[in-house]
Amino acid sequence: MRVFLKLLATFLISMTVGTNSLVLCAPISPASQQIPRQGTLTTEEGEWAKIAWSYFQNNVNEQTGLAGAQPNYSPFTMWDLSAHIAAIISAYHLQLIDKREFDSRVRKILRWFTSMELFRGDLPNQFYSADNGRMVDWANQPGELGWSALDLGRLLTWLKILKERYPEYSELVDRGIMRWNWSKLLDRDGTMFGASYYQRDENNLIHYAEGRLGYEEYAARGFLLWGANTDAASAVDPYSTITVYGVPIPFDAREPENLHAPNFVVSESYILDGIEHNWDIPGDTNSNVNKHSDPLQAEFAWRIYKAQEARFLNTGILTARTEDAVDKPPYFVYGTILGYGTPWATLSHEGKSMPELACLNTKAALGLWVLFKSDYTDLLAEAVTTLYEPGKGFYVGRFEETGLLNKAITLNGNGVIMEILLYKTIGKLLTYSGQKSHWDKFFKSNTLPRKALPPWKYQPSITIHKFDP
Amino acid sequence: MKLTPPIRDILLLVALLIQLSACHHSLDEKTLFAPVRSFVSIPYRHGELNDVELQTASKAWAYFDRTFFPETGLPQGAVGSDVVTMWDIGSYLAAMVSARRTNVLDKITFDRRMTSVVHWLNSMELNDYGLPNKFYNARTGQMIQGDGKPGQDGFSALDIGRMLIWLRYVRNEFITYATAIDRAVLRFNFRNILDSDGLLHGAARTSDGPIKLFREGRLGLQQYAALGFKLWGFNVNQSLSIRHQSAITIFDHWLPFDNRPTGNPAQFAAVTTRMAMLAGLEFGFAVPHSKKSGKNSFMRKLADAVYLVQKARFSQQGRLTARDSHLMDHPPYYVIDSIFVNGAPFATIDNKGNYVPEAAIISIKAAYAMWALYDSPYTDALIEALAPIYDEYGGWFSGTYEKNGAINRVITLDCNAIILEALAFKAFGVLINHSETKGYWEKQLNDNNFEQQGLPPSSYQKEFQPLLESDKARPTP
Repeated sequence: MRVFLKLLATFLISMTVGTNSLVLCAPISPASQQIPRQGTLTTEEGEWAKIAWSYFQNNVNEQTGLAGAQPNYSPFTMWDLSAHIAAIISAYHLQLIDKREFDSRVRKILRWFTSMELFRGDLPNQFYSADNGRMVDWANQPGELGWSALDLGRLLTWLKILKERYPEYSELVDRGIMRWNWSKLLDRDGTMFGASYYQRDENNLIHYAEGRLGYEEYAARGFLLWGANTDAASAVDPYSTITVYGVPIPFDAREPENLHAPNFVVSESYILDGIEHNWDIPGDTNSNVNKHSDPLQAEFAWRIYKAQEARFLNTGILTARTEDAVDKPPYFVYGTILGYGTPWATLSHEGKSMPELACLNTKAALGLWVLFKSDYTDLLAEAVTTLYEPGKGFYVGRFEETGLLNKAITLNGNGVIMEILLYKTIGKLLTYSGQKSHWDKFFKSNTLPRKALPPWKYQPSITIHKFDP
Repeated sequence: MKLTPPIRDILLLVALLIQLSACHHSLDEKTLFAPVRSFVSIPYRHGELNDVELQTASKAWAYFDRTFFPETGLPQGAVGSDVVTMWDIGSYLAAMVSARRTNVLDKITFDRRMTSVVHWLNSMELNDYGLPNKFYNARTGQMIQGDGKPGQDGFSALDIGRMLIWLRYVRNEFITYATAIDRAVLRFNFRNILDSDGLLHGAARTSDGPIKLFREGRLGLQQYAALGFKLWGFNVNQSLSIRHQSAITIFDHWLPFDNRPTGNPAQFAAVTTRMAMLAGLEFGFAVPHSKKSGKNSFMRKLADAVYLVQKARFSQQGRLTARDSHLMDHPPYYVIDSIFVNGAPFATIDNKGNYVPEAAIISIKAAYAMWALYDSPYTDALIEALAPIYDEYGGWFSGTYEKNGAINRVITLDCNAIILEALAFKAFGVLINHSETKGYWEKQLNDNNFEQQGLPPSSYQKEFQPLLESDKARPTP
């Protein structure tokens, strides 16, 4: 009997040893539906927030309260400013800064915002310098360039989030926006217009409909929040799809009329729409992260995710694509899911193919991670969260081809990562206080006709002619 | 004396039986060379690392901080020597993984180091065989010959095998580097390094000049290196099978050795500590993806024998023994410090086969390998004896000379990597688990054809040409 027991024990032990040595990694199962990650941050995720926040600890100018788009690069856009505001709000919520520091940082920005120089006195210029808050070009030289409606659209979203969450700043925010001249920004149909000097000739300002499917709908939400009509911009039509790994990827079917409207499909616009607006129509006070009142945008975002997951499952290449900076010429590329009809094209602003600069992008990977809970996004997070420089912030990403680091560090990238982590803890970022602000009360009885404000009154009579030599 | 028929018949029968049983024995090597004990019942060393061990690990990792060239991403093969082999790259990967696991190396440095070495692997020059050259210059990343001059010097299947083991492990465990590692291995041409049966080939300069292919590998490391090719999908059954094996009894312990001739280029069938113990640290003496556990495998018995013979030398002669091939800072620079070679126990030879008994050392890497695999007072004593021999500028010295106790002041990558492996083994058990992730490699082999390179193995390995065994006619020792 004893011998038998001994044998049995040996047998059982060898069985367990055998099975241990045969344990295989669970295969990556594709996600079947969009499930956002929600909950308090783990210790590790808290570390990520600290890393991203370190950009804003190091690169904000003490005097102006403004931050350049990259370390040692002072120019910044209104898109970057939005990310800056997002980062400050996130840092406060994630308890990286106290109320006093939050207030001081916000007030510095609003002080500048309510007195900033405007392009031709009308609208925010494309670039400002963090050194002195003046209008500059991309080389940090004083000068005017024009405005970007997409950048302003995102800024309007974040100013709205700021004033709804912290009504104490709402009057300053409203007054700043009331300085803008809206008469060249949106036409009667609700198309957004940007403007630039043609070849920097000050007598030759060209106006163009800005934005294509993705960014256009995202930016339009900002204008809609402030009462503008954005019917044309918010409409997804005309769009078409190209099937990538069995996933129909939507893209803008309009002709790319000029360099200001490339129809590149990237992750960022869909991710930002997801975390800031929850793919909800502006004005929808829904705060349930599993319900979306603009289900078509949610569906598009889902497809953008699925295509990238499918690329990994089909090629083994970790994929999270978006436009971003590069640490070598041309310094900025669009890493697309679909660019000018080519899947996975990496293109310069001029449309030149640069496949060697394709990146696994940090902010896109974390954006997908937070919005689409899946095995694949677990891997993405694991792969990108080592991509940072201690005390400086997250890098843009890792080159797909060489595996080397893309060592550019950007304001926008780190700001987006902060808001991603905030989304994980509190869900949809845009909430409504239900209070009437200075803006609502002022325009109840007043108008600013020379600035075409309020938009709901003057926009129906605006016609903007495209001008493109 | 005249025997009566019945007695004669009985005697004949007995004689016949004896003859039969002898016949049977000579046919079955295992029975003939059956060891006194089939395995040692000493358990692996296991448990959390204490402060001293963590410091040991930090000191070992300091070697890699000390010898690192950021431009190439490679460490020196030894302090003061820029020569680096694929074996060293494999050891470097093992060291990084082990240091990371024991938390001696932080996540960020690990990532930067891994990124740069994987990038180098993707951009390094390959030799005319389409394989990594035997030697590279760590400072410039260029191919060099054994004497340090630029140029090719063949390749080593054993070195590449070790590197493939660790590349496979890193790509399975760390998704970040998976695609880049797969790309690097997809550059190799496997047609000359293996044959259709899975025997390993190397290429080296022969004594008469030109580089030629030869069957590479002797008992122990041949089986170990073959696992690297197995992990990447090749059939290596012939390399894994235990043949050409004889045994000798030293201090009453059975010790198997490879009975093949030295050949040209010379391959000494020396019994050293690493020949079985690397397979122990990394695979637990088992063959990956096979159902057999390592508990009773031949490799385990080999390791036990190597341990027992060295321990017996200590208990019977009072001489601490931990033998492995090693480097020295004076001629002949490289010695095979064996437990058994060329028919002589505890012989130390240079790479031409000359005896250099004064070069024998108590090797720190052999000591740590045994320390991890055999939790015994003997291995404790070895480590205690070697505890003070580290360099304040980073890294552990190779060992102490048996003849006078002086320190062998050479500091090598190999030593420090094995120390890190041994410590990680203590903390986490067998280093390489068997998990597999499908990725770029599988997809590429599925979708594309790399006929020139002999990939995928399932389609082309059967076409690989065998080498003629030119040394077959020579007598075996």
